[in-house]
Amino acid sequence: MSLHLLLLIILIPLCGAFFAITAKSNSYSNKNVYNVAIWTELINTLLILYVFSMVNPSKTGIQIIEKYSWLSNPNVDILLGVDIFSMLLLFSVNISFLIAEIFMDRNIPRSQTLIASELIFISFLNGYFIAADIVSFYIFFSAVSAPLIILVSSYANLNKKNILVRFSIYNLIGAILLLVAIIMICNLKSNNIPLNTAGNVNIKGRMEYVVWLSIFFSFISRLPIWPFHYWISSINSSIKNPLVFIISNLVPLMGLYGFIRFWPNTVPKTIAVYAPFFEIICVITMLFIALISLSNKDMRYKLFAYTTVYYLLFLIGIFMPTNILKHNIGYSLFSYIIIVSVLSFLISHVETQKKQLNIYSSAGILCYMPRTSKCISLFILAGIGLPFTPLFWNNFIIISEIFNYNLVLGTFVMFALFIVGVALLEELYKQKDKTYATSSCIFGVDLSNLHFGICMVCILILFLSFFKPLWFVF
Amino acid sequence: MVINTLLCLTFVSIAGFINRGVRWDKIIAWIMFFISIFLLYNYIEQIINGVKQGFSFVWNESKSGVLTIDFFPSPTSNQFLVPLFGISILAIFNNNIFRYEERKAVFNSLILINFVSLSLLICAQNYVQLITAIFVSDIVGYVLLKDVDSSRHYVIYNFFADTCLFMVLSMVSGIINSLDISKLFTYEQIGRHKDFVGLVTSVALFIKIGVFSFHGYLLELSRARFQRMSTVSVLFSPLSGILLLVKLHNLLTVSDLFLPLYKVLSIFTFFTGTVFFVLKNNIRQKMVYFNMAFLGIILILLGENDFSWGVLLSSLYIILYLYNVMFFKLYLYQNRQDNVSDMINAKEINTDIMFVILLLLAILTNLFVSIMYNVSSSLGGMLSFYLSIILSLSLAIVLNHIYTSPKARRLDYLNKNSNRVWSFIFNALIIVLASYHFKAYNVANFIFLSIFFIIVWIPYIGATRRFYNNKFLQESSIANQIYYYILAVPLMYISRMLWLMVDTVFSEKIVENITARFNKIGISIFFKFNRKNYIHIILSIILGILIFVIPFLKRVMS
Amino acid sequence: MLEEILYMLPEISLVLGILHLCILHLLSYESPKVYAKVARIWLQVSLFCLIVFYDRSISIFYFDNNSFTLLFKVLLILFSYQLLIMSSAWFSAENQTGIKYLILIFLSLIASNYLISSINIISFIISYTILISINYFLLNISSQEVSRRYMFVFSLILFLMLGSFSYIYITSNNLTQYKELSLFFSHTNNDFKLYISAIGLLLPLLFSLGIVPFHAVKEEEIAKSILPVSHYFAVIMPLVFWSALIKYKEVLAFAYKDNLMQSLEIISILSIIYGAIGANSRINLHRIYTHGSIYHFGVILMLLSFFNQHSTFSAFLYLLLYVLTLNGLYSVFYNLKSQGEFLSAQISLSGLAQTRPHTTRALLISIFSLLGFPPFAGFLAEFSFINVFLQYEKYLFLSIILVFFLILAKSYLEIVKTAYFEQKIKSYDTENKTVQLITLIGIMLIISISFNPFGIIEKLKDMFYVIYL
Repeated sequence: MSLHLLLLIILIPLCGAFFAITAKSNSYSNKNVYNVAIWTELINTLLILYVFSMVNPSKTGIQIIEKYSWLSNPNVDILLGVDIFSMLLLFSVNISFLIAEIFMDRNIPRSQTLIASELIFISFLNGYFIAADIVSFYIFFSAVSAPLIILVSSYANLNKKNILVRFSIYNLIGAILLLVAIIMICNLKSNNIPLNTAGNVNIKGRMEYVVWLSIFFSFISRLPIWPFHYWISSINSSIKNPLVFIISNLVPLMGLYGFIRFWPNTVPKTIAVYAPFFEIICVITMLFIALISLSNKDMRYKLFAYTTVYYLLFLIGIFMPTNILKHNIGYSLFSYIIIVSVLSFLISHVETQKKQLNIYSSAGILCYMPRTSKCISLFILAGIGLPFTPLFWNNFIIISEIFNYNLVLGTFVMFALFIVGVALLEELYKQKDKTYATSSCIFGVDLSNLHFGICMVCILILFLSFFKPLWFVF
Repeated sequence: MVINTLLCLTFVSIAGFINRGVRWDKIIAWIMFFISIFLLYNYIEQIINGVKQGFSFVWNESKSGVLTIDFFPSPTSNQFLVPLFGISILAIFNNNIFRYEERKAVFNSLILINFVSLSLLICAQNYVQLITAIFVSDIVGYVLLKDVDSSRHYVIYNFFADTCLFMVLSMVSGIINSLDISKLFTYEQIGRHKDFVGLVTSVALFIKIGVFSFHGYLLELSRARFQRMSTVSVLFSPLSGILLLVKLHNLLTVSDLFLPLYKVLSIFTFFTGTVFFVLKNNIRQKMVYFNMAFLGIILILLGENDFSWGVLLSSLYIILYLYNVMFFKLYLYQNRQDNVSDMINAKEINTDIMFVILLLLAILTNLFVSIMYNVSSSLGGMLSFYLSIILSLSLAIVLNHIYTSPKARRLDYLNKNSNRVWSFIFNALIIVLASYHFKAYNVANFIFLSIFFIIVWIPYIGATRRFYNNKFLQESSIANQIYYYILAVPLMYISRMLWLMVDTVFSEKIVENITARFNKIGISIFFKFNRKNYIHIILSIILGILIFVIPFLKRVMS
Repeated sequence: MLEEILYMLPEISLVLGILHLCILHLLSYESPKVYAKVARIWLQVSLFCLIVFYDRSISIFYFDNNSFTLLFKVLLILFSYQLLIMSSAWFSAENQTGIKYLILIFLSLIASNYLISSINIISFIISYTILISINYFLLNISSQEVSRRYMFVFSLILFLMLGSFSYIYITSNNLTQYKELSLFFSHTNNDFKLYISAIGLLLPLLFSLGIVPFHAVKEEEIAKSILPVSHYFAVIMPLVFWSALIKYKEVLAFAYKDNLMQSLEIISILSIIYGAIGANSRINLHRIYTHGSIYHFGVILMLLSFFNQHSTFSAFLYLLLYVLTLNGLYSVFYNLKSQGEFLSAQISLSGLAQTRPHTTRALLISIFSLLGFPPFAGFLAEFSFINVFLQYEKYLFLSIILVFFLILAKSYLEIVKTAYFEQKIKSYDTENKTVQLITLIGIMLIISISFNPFGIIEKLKDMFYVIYL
């Protein structure tokens, strides 16, 4: 008998969101709302761990399938299922949000909206990773846009309001293209098809172009690909709230995941002709955004550039003519998501303290907070390739395959990775530069014991994952 | 009982991070020293008795093979390990003696961790262990430096070098489909892009070693504390570069361009190091250039010896470290005076110590020259011997600048530290024993020493001091400026141009204007059609009817 | 006789309701809540009778009741029920009883019932005329200028309609029933004058729905009316007229399928283009939604133009889900009050997100539903219509619809932008709890219907397909 565990993973955050929405607007309820969010996420994470233990790592393909009927004409059933790759992403995303909720500042305005939208986003994102058929895949792919628009509208920079509309329309275009492609596939097969067979659909003629190009552009719409990167980069880098920053920077992950699931292992010849153009565009975007991050003084932009460059690295890995990189990408993403989440909060902590101390520039600010300095240094080093994180080893394999495929492509990719690493390191050095600091420490501005402890726990998770990727599966 | 040295050292270094106050820090630091001595002794004993110690554990599996972390020292690797261990212990000893660090135990721990990682590098049988060890060593070096100004370029240069290495090794492992270092020689046969591989790897190694034109970041180290600077210069990046050179030379020699470049750069490194060693006023920078010149000689020797290491080369490296210690003592007993031009000709105090230092330096130089003679003779080429003579004479010139300084005043007393004498005794012991072992006490050595002392004391040499007043020479760093103007400035310029021209002007302004224009056109068309008068209503009815009528008529007629 | 009275009970209960309201008015009751409560009770009675006698009609020559008519009538009553609750809040705020409005609504429901059940041109014309007259009186409550223009336009239309009927009646030898006329049309489908007469019967429906180029009064009737009246025009009337149009198309004018297809496609495209551009050009929320309606009605008409069971049901589903969403949007209006005045300008939403989070949520959910995001109602509608277009390989039309959908989406997103980004201009009055509750129910429906609870979509389909029997 099925325990509907996968459905529970989707529903639990929704229940939390419901509590958040219905709570009264006073200080006591606000505190409760945060606690509800933390407990919800904790329960969800534990449930994911439990489901993880039921998944067999040596088996490929979808496991633990749950089926729910939706419409009878057309006949559409909703399938939920997971494999190791999706479980890794699920676990890392939920851990990140759990960390985010613990780190979160309790005095944010409109906290109910924030928590409720965040939990709804988590729920839909979980559904996206759990979806095992193309229709439910689309449903969650598109549903995520709603809480995203709410969060971005609530917390983005006021100066970027015109970009919000373009950002939303860009997301909508992606959603519509995917819907058209999926319905075409369903009509061709006269039924909803499982996700793991989507790559093997045999389509002939002009429809082949339409379907695969639609799928392609729909997932591209989630990624900040040049020249369509501007509104994504504008919105993402202007968000001051770290939780919303994490959420908006997880959206490209959806595009990446979509490619992994949908993109056929043997690309049709008609489409394969265009693959080099796409690789060129990816590399141009990586270089472009990495170079801009050098002169952009905003640390958030640098972090955004870092996330973009790495997403594109993984995307190029997906397009390699080999199907052995999937798990490596999964393990890399596992550590990458945790690193980005923690960094986002640490940067936000620095910004908050900067405001409180009435400092204009962030130069030397880490001198006042030694613990924060240590944590930021560690996580930046982990992010740019410190050994003892899974990112290091798995990126080694991915880059190895890229070089095997094309030397020039690999060189430019490495150059972009280097530039974005230097951008982060330069900013780190600027913030640690003692010449601008008036004292060696200021009481009360550093990370609290709890937050520091969480950072150390994250480092431990990364360290243990380096030695045994699935150490947490019991 | 076979004690696993590396594991013990790891635990000892972790223990060094425990913070229990100043008094406990001193005690822990000394305990670490004695444990290290014991472990070295034990290790040597095991080597002599032929006991094999080592470990290996499976870390991960990939399509390229099973990934392990290995430590199986062989006689060849012991030629690195033992001297390196010795130098690390010397560094710990000096740290304990000289009260420079607030937390000595942490400093000692970092040195031990560096030794462990370099040991893993030396014994690495797969690329991943190799790169991991390199990264760890770089990070430990950065942590050890602590100073932001000095470590900034150190980190970035090493990051670039590590990225190049990462790139090349990942590429190679993909092509030969193996992570095994011993299979590197097969790259020559099956590898592609040999020039690219050779050149990128050599750039990475040149940066790490700090050869001519890549040495800018090492100069920045001179801003850190002397002890830290000297430790990093000897035990960290340059050493890891040399170790990599020995391990990866198969990969370098796949390109025909490598060897000529290597030879030229080695020579240039030596001469640049020697010249600026004499011309620079700042003693820390002098030391950096001296190390550079010394490493130039080591590189030439390696090139002549087919990149294989030996006992003599290990000895040379120990000598290099001892030189650094002597320079530190010179600096210390000149009351921590940075500029040589401001150093005093001490006649009233510290005179004895200064002369002891001079004596030790002379014997050390004599030992150096003797070893160089032995090495050069065995290799059949005397170039490196002559270069060592030149370096020794330049050292004599610099010592002349210090010991025949026109300035004279009473030096202040240093803080009392009765332990300092042990440092002198220990160093003297090593130098004397080594001199005895390498038979550096024949007539030629005596003649050399005489010439050395003459140059140190002869007053005419002091005319070269005038270069200390040349501001351009003292303050500029051509290497840094080259990179600044060739790399950093163009990159920043391109970055700003892209940001302003493409992002701001094109994406934001132009696209927004275009969409606003389309919007305006749409609205104006809409209002033209959206009239509310009665004629308009009647016209719309007629239009609507026509829409129905025309298709009907078309169909009927067809 | 008794049977006929029983079968007329749904209408009779509405008439009794009117009488009851008049009595209350004569007794000088002044509380609008009392009037609304009475009206709702009679509405419930009417609904009950409707369900009991769903397949009975007073005259099988003029009217035919079945699951199809029941479906539309039930929806009509349910939406009217909600409208009455909301309008009572409005009238309370305006210190009016709203009796005139209530009576007119009831009369409109009676006329609508008959219009939906009509299977005869005479009953169709009479009930349509009565409905138009009632609408005129409703518009007269708000603006005389608008009602005058409305009367002018629909007088023309009625004139056309009567002329068409006369010609058909004479030519067909006094045939008036849909089925008989349908057969007649099929034998004479090359007769131009007959064709024009058939179109003459279609035009009034197109005018009432506001399909381009027959959209002359659509915008004004909604934008310039008081809130309850515009709510009625936006939500209730489309259900009535679409049901009549579907019946017309499937039963009466099926013989002209080949001729009508192309024409309907053209006017659908015009509506889609005009609606999308118009929504972007306006700053009044009523006008934005009206133009949005024109766009959506264009899509529905396009689906109907395929003359296919599957596409027709898809059109119905689209209509239902759209009306449900629009209802949610309108419920937001009842919460948008500042210093006793109900607001309708887009700028009046400034700062709504900071001060009225519940209202903002309702607004957002409705807009997201219109944008087709799952799991809201609009997603199911979008899924359904795209499926139909792809099955029938209407790729060009689909592309046009989707492109202009993006343009329409821009106007909806501007509303979101105003609610979140603009600084507060007005301070809002306290929200009415009843209105909030109804809004919440509406929102829950918008969210839950796309899950197809209890197989409701299949049940609706079964009821709808009766029209083909």
